[in-house]
Amino acid sequence: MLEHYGTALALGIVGFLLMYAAFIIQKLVGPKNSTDVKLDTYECGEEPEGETWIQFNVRFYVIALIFIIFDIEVVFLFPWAVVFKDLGFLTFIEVFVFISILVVGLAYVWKKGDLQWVKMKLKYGTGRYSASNLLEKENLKEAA
Amino acid sequence: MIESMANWFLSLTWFPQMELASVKLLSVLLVGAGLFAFIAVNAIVLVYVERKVSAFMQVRLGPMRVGPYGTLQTVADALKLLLKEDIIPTLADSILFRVGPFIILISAIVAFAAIPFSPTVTAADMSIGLYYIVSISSIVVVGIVMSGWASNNKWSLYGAMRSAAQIVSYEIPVGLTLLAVVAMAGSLNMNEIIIAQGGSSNLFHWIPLPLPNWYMFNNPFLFIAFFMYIIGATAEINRTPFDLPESESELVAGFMTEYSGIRWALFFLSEYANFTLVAFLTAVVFMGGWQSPFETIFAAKTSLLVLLALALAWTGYVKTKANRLSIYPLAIIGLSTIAAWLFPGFAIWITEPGLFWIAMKVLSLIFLLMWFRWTFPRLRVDQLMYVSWKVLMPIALFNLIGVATWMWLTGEIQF
Repeated sequence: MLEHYGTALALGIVGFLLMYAAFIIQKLVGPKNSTDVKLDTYECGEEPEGETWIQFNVRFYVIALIFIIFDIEVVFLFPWAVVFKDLGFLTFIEVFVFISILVVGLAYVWKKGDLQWVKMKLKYGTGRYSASNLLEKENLKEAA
Repeated sequence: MIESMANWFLSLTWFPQMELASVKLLSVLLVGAGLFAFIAVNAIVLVYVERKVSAFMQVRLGPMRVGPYGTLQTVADALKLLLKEDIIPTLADSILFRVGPFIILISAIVAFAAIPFSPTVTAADMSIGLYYIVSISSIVVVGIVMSGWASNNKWSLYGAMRSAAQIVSYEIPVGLTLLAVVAMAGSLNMNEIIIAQGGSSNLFHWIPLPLPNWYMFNNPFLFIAFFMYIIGATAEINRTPFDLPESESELVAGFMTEYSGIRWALFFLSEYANFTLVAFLTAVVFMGGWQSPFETIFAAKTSLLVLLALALAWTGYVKTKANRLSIYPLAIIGLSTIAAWLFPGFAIWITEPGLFWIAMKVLSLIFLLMWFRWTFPRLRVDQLMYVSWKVLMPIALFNLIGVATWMWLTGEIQF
């Protein structure tokens, strides 16, 4: 049984070595005349400006959190799916309860708006993004 | 397969007498090199095929200069990439920048170990093959985020974050659809899943239309699951219409903006390796893998006649609608029909399971995904997330319950 994973591991090692061989060929035959401009970060021809490693929008982390919850659900369901035929319909009811708890979770996240990628609707925005506020600003601009 | 290969080596007269363990190690290394060669050649061929298919869909010729009909174009491209200068930006995180492509490609290659190519050829016939492939192929995300972050480039970082969010979101619907199949098959072994799809039966075991007993046609819920899996898989391998991570018109090249030469070639290789992997997985899970669609010789002959009638109707339709002669489908199906009726050997061969059938299924799926590229426009990021979490996810959960109920109703499981 472990032999199979050994095969997979060997496959990874062989793949790595063959790819590394390509790098060695490249080192031998490829040109080496780098300049500062060539090694500069690409930013559409402009000189790169500002920090790249910034704090990212929080919605990516929310998606990651939801993913972890549901991925673990899938992981838990896999063993059930394998033995489902032997154990019969009663186990399905148990799993149904498990799934419905997670469906409630999904519904909660949905209702909370965390699955919404665009958080802000200008048309129905609040605060400084509210329609009346924006209209006021435009009026001020026009007056100026 | 390793075991039988080692025994075959030992049975050869010229082969030096060695211990079984070392012969096994040799066979494992040979299989590894063979699979890597398959993946590399496959990528080179697929790039050519993709360029030609795109060209024909846009009524142009595509690559024509290098070799006859441009067949050596991608070989020339690969050589050019190998001869390019290796550029690592000074601002980039040098170590992560180097490691990223390797992680992506190795995860793509290693997943191929559990793919069954024919009833006897599976590099590693694991008992949890399907689960292994799903888990290994999700390591790609780590490599993408690593290389995108290490590039220290705004385009790369945006591409990587988008890609991570996308792959992660689509993994759950895909996992749930595969779960429905696993519940049906009662096994995670790829070959057992294929064996369970042998023979033929009515559509959904109910509508009197004889079709191969693939899981796709097994019940209405799995029929939906098949299309959901195609959508989710297209998103997971970052192909159009879900190619947001490297959308040329907005993010330059996404997470691979800073990569060039041989390092970029690794990304390209892994992209096509993943593409083929997904096609193989779809073929195995939903379309019966290496099983032949024809159960008996008589079934093969009559099905080919039906297909010939359909091809004739198609040719007539194209002729009247567009005034063009669509000859190739008619020619291929016509020739195979004649061969099946005249030569009994051919008829027997097409009813036998083997590499031919899984290759045909995989190639058709690859063509389908290439077709998608020129049919659907790219989605917006918010639409992408909407499709995954609010459309596919509820349908996938519903499908899982539906499949279980169907199994109970058809008497496959008892209380």
